[in-house]
Amino acid sequence: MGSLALSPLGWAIAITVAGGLGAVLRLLLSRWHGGLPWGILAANSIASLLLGLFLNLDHSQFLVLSALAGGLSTFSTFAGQTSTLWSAGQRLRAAVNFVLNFGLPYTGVIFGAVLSVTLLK
Amino acid sequence: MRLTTKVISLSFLGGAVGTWLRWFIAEGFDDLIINTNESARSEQVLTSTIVMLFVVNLTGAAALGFFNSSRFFQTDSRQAFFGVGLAGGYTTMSGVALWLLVTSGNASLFGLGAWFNFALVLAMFIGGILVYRLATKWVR
Repeated sequence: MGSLALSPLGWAIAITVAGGLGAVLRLLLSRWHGGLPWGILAANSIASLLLGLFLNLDHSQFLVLSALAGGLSTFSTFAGQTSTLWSAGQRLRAAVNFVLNFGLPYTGVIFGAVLSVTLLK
Repeated sequence: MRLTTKVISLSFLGGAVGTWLRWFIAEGFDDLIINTNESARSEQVLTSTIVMLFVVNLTGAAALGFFNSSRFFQTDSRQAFFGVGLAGGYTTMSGVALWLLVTSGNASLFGLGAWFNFALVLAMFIGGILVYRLATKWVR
């Protein structure tokens, strides 16, 4: 794939639009609730999977993808939801949310990278 | 929060601004890298990235604590722009996962071994929850 030829303003626009799209996707996913805030966990895991999967893109394309993944994933909402669960006395759920948000995005980025290498063979 | 066109549009705008802010800060951290030696430069990039991730994620978690607690932000529109969009787009979890992946093959970071990278991320997670709680208590 060739690299994207954009002016500095074009870059700023591409990055902000990608981030905005990521935020809207996260908003839609965040409506998935159950015993845990599954939607945010899914958003964080999918964003990490995407980064791993497209690790081989050239720098400029990866920058835009990382803006999309950055907008889709969130640390602040994870911190807020875990804190809220803890304050509500649901400490086991808070702990599980903590562990899953640590483990699944990391597993996702590894899985994406492995898949990418396998597909490129 | 009801899913209206206004809420979706404001989430998009907030996410765009938050992502741009994070990118702007990341560029600032990149400018601090001065070493031209390839090996030293690579370690500086990894170090500056984790410092940048700490800065954006902890300040973003504190900001969300503020937005979620202050009465001024308790409307769907303001929550969509400031909470979902700005704080959500400004902070990143995928960036943390990617940093862990890259550094897991680089056990010499800080000369302390790969386990130290996991300890740093663990500290970030605990720190993020603590600053969120501090911000909510500060507002109340």
